[in-house]
Order: sequence, then C-alpha cells, then structure tokens
Amino acid sequence: MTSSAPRNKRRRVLLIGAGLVGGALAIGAYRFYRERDRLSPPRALRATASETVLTGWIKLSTDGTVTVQVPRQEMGQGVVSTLALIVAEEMDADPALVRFEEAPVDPFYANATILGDAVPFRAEDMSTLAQMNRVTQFKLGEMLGIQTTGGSTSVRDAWHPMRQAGAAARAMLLQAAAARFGVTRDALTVANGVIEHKASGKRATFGELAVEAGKVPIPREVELKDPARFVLLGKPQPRLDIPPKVDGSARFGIDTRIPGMYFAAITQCPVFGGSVAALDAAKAKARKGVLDVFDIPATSTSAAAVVVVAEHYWIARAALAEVSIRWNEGPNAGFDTDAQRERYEQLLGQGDARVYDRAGDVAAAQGGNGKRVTADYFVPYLAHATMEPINCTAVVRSAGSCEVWVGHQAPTLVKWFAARTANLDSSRVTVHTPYLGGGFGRRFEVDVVVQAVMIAKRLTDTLVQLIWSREEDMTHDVYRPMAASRLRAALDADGNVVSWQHRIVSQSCTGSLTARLLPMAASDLMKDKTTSEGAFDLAYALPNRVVEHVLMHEPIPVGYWRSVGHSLNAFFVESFVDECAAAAGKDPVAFRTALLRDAPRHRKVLELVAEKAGWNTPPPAGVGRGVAFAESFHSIVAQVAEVEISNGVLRVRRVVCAVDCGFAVNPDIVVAQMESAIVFGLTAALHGEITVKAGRVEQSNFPSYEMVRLASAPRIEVHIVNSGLEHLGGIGEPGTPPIAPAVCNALFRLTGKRIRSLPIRL
Amino acid sequence: MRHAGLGKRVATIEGLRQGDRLHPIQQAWVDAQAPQCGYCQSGMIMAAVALLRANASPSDADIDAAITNVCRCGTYARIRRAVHAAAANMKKARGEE
Repeated sequence: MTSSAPRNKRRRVLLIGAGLVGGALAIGAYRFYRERDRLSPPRALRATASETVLTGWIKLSTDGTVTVQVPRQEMGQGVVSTLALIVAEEMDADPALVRFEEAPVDPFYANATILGDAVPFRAEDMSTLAQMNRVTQFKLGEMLGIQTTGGSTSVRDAWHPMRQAGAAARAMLLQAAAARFGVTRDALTVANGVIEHKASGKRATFGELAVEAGKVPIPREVELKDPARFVLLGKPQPRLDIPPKVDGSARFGIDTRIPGMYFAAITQCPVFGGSVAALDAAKAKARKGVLDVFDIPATSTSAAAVVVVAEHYWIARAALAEVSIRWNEGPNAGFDTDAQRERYEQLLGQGDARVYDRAGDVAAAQGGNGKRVTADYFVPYLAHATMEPINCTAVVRSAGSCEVWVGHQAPTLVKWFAARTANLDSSRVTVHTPYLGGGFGRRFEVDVVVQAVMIAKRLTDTLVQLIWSREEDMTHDVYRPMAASRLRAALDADGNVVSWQHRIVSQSCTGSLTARLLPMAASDLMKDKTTSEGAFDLAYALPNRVVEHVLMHEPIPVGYWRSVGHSLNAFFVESFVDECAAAAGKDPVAFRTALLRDAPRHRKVLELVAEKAGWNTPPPAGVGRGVAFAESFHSIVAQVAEVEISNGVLRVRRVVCAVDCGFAVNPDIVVAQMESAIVFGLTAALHGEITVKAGRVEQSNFPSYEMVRLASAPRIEVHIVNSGLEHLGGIGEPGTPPIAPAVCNALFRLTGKRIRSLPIRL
Repeated sequence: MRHAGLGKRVATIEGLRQGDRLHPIQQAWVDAQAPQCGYCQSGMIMAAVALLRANASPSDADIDAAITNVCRCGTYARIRRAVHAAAANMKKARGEE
C-alpha cells in the first residue's frame, strides 16, 4: 500500500472494500438518491469523423455501421454478441451492420447489479433490513463505478439501459427522417436499418441519416418494444466473435505485440506468504538477450517473486532456470490441507457458527418418531486453470503515464491498481482489454497486473509482457474454497422433511478478495453471501430449518470460481436431498417435486428434465440415472445424468439439462453455456483437487490436474423454459452447480454407494 | 538445442483460409458455433485438419483418439459435431457422394 496515493483514489478504493463487505456507511445521501444517467455519452467515448454518437452505447457511421459499446468482457460467454443484439433489436437495425467495440473504462458503464446481488437475504425476504441492503448495495455499485464481468449479471445489468439506448437512437433517427421528408414521425416505418415513408415512397438508411440524427437531443422517455415483436432476440443468432476465433485473428492479452517489447518470466515463492531471502543472478544476466533479473516484493494482491526480463519469452524462461534463489518461506511452511480438513470436520459438530437462515422450530420438529438422516460432505480446493496463461503487458512512461494490456474481468480495478503501483493518478492510466482466454472468476484478480506494472516501473519506457507459466498459475491461483458440511434432517412418518439443519465450514471468497484489494477494510463484520448461497436460499419447502456457516481464515487465498458458493453447496444440498429421498423410500424426482410445492416455476423445470430424460422408464442395463436441481444467479437448472462404469472407470454418458432463465435472449448461447458449465463442473467432480503440503501446492499442470476431454465429455441435451422477462436470470454460471450431485446421485442408483467427498473415487 | 521442427513444413491456423473462403473445417466450426473463449480453438481446428487428412470419415472413437486437446470452456460436443460436418462437406466437395 502506498500512502502517497492521490486522495480521491484512496477514497474509491476504500469504498470498494466497504462494498465488498456489504456496507455503505461512508456514502453521502445526496449522491445516494441521484438517479444515474445511463444515456448521455461519457467524455471517454470517442468517435471518428464519420461516426455519430447516439447515446453512450451507440456509434452510427455514415456507411450504416452500428458500433455498440460493450462494457463487459468476452471470455466465452457470448456477451459481446448478446449485448450488441439487444441494442440492434430496439433500434430495428440491420444485424449484418452491427459491430461491437470494447467500451472505454468509465463509471458510465459500471455494473451495479453484481453488488446488488451480493446481499445475504432470501429472495422472498422483503423486510426493511433486506430491502435497505439491496438498495444500498446497488447504489454503492453505481457510485463505485466498477466495470466488472461476473456473477452472471451482464444481461440483467444491461437489459434496461441498452434497450433504452437502442430505442432512443431509433427515435433520433426517426425524427431526423421526419424532418428530411417533411412528414410526421408516425407516418414512418423502420425495419432492418431503413426508414420509409410508404405514402411518398421516400426512404433513407440509418447511415444516410446519421449526421442529422446526431443533432437531435437524446429523448429521455422512449417506448420500448413489445417483446412479442422481437425479431432478433429469443431466436438463435450467430456470435460476432466466432469468425475471428476460427481464423486466428482474434487477439487475446497474450497476443499483444508491440515493436521493441520485452518479455518477463516469473517464479513466485512456492510457499504462500514467503519472500525472497537471496538470489544469485550472475549466470542468468550473462545470457544473451537478457535485459535484467531482479526480485519483486509481495503485495496484498501478489506474491514475492523473481523476474527475468529478456528479448524473448523462452530466453527469459531459460535464464530464470539459471537463477539460484533462496526463499524465506515464512510462517506457512508447515501448512497442510490434510490437517486443515481434520480441523474443518471437527468444527462440524462443535463451536459457534453464524446463522444465515432460520425458520420454525428445528428442535421441536425433531421430536417426532420418523426417520433421522445425517451426512457429512467435503470438497477440496480447486484451481481455475484458464487456457490462456495469466499475463499482462505494461509500460510506465517517464512522462508520467501508464498503459496496460490485459484480458481482465474488471478493467476498472486494473486501472486503479496500475495507478497505485505506478504511483500515478488513475486518469494517467490507459487500459486495453483484449479477449480473455477463459475467466471463470480467475481474471478478477489484479496480481499479474500489479507485478507487470512493478516491472514496467523499474524499466521505465520499456514495454514488458509478463507471462506466468501454467505451473505458476496452478500454484498461485485464488482457489475455490475447501469446505466441509454437515446436514441433518428429520422426516415424518410420511417421509416429509420436518426439520433441516445445515452447517458449512469454509473461508470467505469475498473476505479473501477484500483482504487482497484493501487489507485495511478486511473485516468479518458482514456475512459473505457466497459462503452459503445455494444453501440458505433454497426454494424447497422446509418449515423448520437452520443454515449456518463457520468462517475460517487460512493462508491460502480463495476467490470466485464459476458459480462460487453454489458449486459446492449444490453438491451438499442435492446429495443430501437424495439421501433423504432414499431414507423416505421415495423417488428422487417425486421427493423434490413435493419439496417444491410452493415453487411452481421451479417444479416445472424439474418436471421437464424428468420428462426429457425419460425418468419414468428404466435406464439401460449397467446405467444409473441421477437428478439434481439448483437455482443460482436468478436462473433455475435441473439436470439428469446417466453414468456407467467400464473397466473400473466412471463414465458420464449423457446429461439432460432443463433451464429457466426467464427469457433466453440468444437461445444458442444459453445452450452453449449449459454445455460449458456442465463440462466445467464435471471436471471438478471427476478430477478436481488442489492439495497443499509443506505450504506448497502439489499440483502443477494438467498431468496432475486432469480435465474432461473429448473422449470423456458426455452427450448433453439442453431444454429451455421461457417463463417471462420478469424472471430474467444469468446464464454463464447456473449450469455448473447441479452436475456434481446429479452424477453422484446417479452413481448411487447404479452402485448403492454414496459419494460424500469430491473428487469422486470409486 | 536442436529445434524439432527444423527443416519441416509448419501449418498454422493463419494459413488455412483459401483466399476469401474459409477452409471447410473452419466453416464447419462457424456453422456449429463451436468456440467460446476461443483460446484453444486454433489448436482444435489444426488437430481436426490433421485428423481429416489421415482419415476422411472418422468415427467418434477416431475423433476421441486423435483430438486430446484441452478446452476449458467445454466445447467438445460442438467440436465433435463440426468434425463430422466438415468430413461430410469435404467428401461432398470431392464428389464422393
């Protein structure tokens, strides 16, 4: 932390910390109640001579090209295409002329929804406290102005402002056409980027009207299209980012190439929290092409490391291997995940916990003479393992500016942390965000950015691309937390769940992230929703229940991993519901349907997946079928997995998935995201495990951290329910939570054996 | 250090396009809307090129054995579909059907 950072930046950084722990006490009421302008173009938005700016979201060129500003990062989820399409729909633009452009980093484009979603209250909780928290968090998100892509929020956050922008642009074009033709606006029709006056036969394209439309004031009140008249949305549309991704022209962060640039290889202290004690770089420095060898200190966001900067990356790598380093391993050299697991399992039955949800009277409900079910579950740490190695390119110029190229989920954080590291005002930092070669929550971290700027600051006016090897990534990730969980239920004589108790023991991702971004704001005061999401906010009718969490602090950094708390809590809850169904002697689907008696929308998704999977017809011999269900990020997903065992190896042959995200903006992307999230979750269920011995991560690359591949990928069938725009939900993450329990439940039906610890070992 | 590729021809994704037209395998990738983050896709496509050069109509098992690349976005089902579609289209173009 530099204490010399400009005051306004420190204030903003303080606010992030406050936001991340859920508070907003530092905010003045006058800003709180000011409506956010989401139409007027921000100053940062630049246009060329042939372009007209129509709101902060759209540039229209005289050749008719509509360039939509996309402030979310493309990491495979199709967001650039989806957001561009939303604008095109309201504009009635010609989709063939619609392009997207990375929006500048500006608070105008901030994602407030991601913070609004982060409050630890059940959806139906309309208490004053819950409502205040929601509004405060959302407003905080607006004021912090952080551009982030995550939490499956992009469409929900953009839906209203981008539709409004499209409709406003359309109105401006109509007014320009009316003036040009000398007719009233309501005598005109718009379709496919052309405005026509049918009575006179006059017509003009958007491009021809661009300059005049730019002179029309942006209308504040515009009528949005009736969704029944959508021509683009709700139908499969080709993605805009696919052509460059099949011909090699797509540029990822690691593809950044600027004449004269250097490359840096890095080795970080293998023990979490250690530092460099001494290094001998004489041999490495003598290697041809090596510019410099030095160590960089640990920061709150990054580990201590030794760096070699050279003309080429492989020279840097080879020279790095010749540096002899002595590490000061620090206090965590004895850290061991086996011992950690034992500690966690002990805490399942003793000590205090914080209650996330309580209803009815659990103790009284246990008094009946029905069955009792108890089970303990466990999940290990997991790495993200993005395909594009972690990298960042930076230059700090002696004129007092900094430029950064990095595929990142939060460009605003890149800007702030680059500024802080370079000791510059953030207005002096330019951030370029190319495509991300996978994000999954990993590219929310600023570790590599801080390191790259530290290197660039030392080598002023030299462009340096820092690349972590895959081994560095796997051993210095922010991991999905290890967690232990105990569930206890009492069933009545009819097999109904009358009492439900759930305890989870884990670290907090949000707490860990806050400690990295702003150590002084780190606090256990506020409950992190993500520890218990998917456990305290279930749609199941559980009249007597307690869901509680034991907060742990460990030297292993944890972070958001696709679907965050849901990914582990769905495994606990849905495995246990299956155990309850078995104890009650009931069919797993029928048992869940009964639990969803107050949730018709949820029940419909479950019933659909059962029907499409042929649940009521027996599976082929040697095949087990299992079901699981999870609501996350405002979307509902149910999955049926079919498993078999051949030569002692578990194979998932088929997954049937039903999803209700309210309205599938681009159904083919919804299908693709379900396929993707299922494979991602399946890799974790079958293989994923990060272990730490003597303070060091034991896995280092794909041979020790195996992935599902083509040969082991199941056949996946996806069925979509459109329950209505009022239920708009996210799509990047919700496919992941149900797959692990669906597979384990299928395995139980095949073998009678319960899997209570991941990854699955037969 | 002797380079393993010394004196050999190396084909990359950039050299696949045939003039203005995408290679049939690239076209099949577009038709299947296969890529997501896209980072692994150049490798996947080149692996498919090598496979179809050796085996004009691969079975699922042939594809499993030949393409062992990792895709973290899980585009495998679409890759399989694209390989089969490309094989069929290339056969048709050669007049074998």
